[in-house]
Amino acid sequence: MVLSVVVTTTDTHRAIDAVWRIESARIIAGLTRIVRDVGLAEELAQDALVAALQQWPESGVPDNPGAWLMATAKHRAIDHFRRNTLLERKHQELGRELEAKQEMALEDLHTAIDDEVGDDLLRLIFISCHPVLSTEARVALTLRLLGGLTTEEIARAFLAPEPTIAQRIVRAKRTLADERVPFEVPRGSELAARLSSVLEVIYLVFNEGYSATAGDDWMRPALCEEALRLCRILAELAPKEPEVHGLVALMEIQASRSRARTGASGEPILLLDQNRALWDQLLIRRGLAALERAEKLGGALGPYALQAAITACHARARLPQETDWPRMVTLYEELAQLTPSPIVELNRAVAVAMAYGPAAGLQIIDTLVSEPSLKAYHLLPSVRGDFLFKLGRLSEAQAEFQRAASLTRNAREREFLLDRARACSESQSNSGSR
Amino acid sequence: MRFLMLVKHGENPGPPPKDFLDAMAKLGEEAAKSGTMLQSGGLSPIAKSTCVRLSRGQVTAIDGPFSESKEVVGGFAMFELKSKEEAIEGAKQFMELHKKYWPGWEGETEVRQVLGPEAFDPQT
Repeated sequence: MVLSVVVTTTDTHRAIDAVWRIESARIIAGLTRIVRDVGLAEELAQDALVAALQQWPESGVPDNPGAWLMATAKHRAIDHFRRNTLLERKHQELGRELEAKQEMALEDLHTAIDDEVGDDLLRLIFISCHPVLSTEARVALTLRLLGGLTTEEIARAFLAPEPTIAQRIVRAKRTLADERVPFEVPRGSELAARLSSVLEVIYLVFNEGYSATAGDDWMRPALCEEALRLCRILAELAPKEPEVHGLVALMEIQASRSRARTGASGEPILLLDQNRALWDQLLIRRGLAALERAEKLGGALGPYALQAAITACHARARLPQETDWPRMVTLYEELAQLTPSPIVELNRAVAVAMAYGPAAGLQIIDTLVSEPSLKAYHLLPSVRGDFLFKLGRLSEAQAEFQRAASLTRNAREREFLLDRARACSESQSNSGSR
Repeated sequence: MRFLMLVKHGENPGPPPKDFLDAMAKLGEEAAKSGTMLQSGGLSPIAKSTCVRLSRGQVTAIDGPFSESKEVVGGFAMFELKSKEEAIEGAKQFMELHKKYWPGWEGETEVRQVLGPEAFDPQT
């Protein structure tokens, strides 16, 4: 009998976890609008969670658990207001006007908190990604407030000690309060900059998960799903922003390849060598649909939408040889104009080589050889070696592969590059002996 | 983790009340805004369906309605969620919605995990 009670309690706790994950962001968002302080809002929401943990194992999970949590948090907020009002009355003489305002605030509280929550959620996203915070702080706060992740989960995901993350979150909340950052959706000229800060945070979370290899902790891949979920939410809340759909598209399509991009022993598999049957067609369809939404909104594509359009060229091809490389070249040209960078140029060189042959690719890449920022970047000699190899300039190719091998920090990649270097010397000696 | 929700009910539940349709529309909107629903759809009645069956080495196609089916799948949705509990919680809310806006409706939501590589990973 005792055992069954224990089991029931654990079940209830797991159900509470699930409810919390589904509802917490909306509850925190609604509370923040009322109390104007993210930190306090989260505390009040947590209080409601604690109440649930105490009551639900005995009373059972209510029919509408989200509403229950919201109502409880609302009461806590009102209690908090009352306490503060009393305190203020004690400590200082309050003008009648201010008092009336406080009473009105209490009245408003009941109705306001039940209003449409979508805008609040959007405000919460913007405040969590506010430029007044460091990028690291934005990431941690966003995962905590919007993803409903615990400090421990965030720490695991970023391979950081838990106290570090906890402190990062505490400081972030304090900074937002100290700087009196308003809880609002930015408008006009501010919107573009603020939105790009939000998208940057989301894509950073995604890449943190995406760059992890198969053997890693499961929390890291979970970051990809978290980033996707956040961006899908954002796309529904801000449907007229093409770059939001662009980023959704980019991540959906990248995520569609997650099963194909590592081999049985965790070794990376290059895109063109992947088994396309393992690509997730549901995510590809969603990605292509999101890209279409971005395109239909009109205007020139932004950097995320352009990158999505590039990945879409791969996603649409059933076989590597069906890839529309000339289109990809055009897209890379547009991307290079919008966000010029040596990395984009390197990628453009690859697309050009695929579309128009290795000599054309080499021409571009030779302009990058003296680029200081690529000096220690192994992909530059690796790609250049590949072009030289295809052009039959084997000894030059061999030297490039060896250089690339000495630059990479990934053991598997080093092996792969040294193999390619050896293949160069073998074909040289073969053709020499003939 | 990916979950397929199959909504089952008696063959002829009758036309849904308007309140229910409104609530469903709102729920669909919210599901999209939760960022977890990948796909969803309603299915045509059994009478318009065909069953292709392999039995005793014979493949046959039989047009509906099928007299033996008591409950039919009327709709489905695919979700990407963090845990089975989250899926169950979602299904419960979906049934609560039926209870509230479609008096007399009876049926069930079957929660099935779509097996991916993580289903075989001992860590999860």
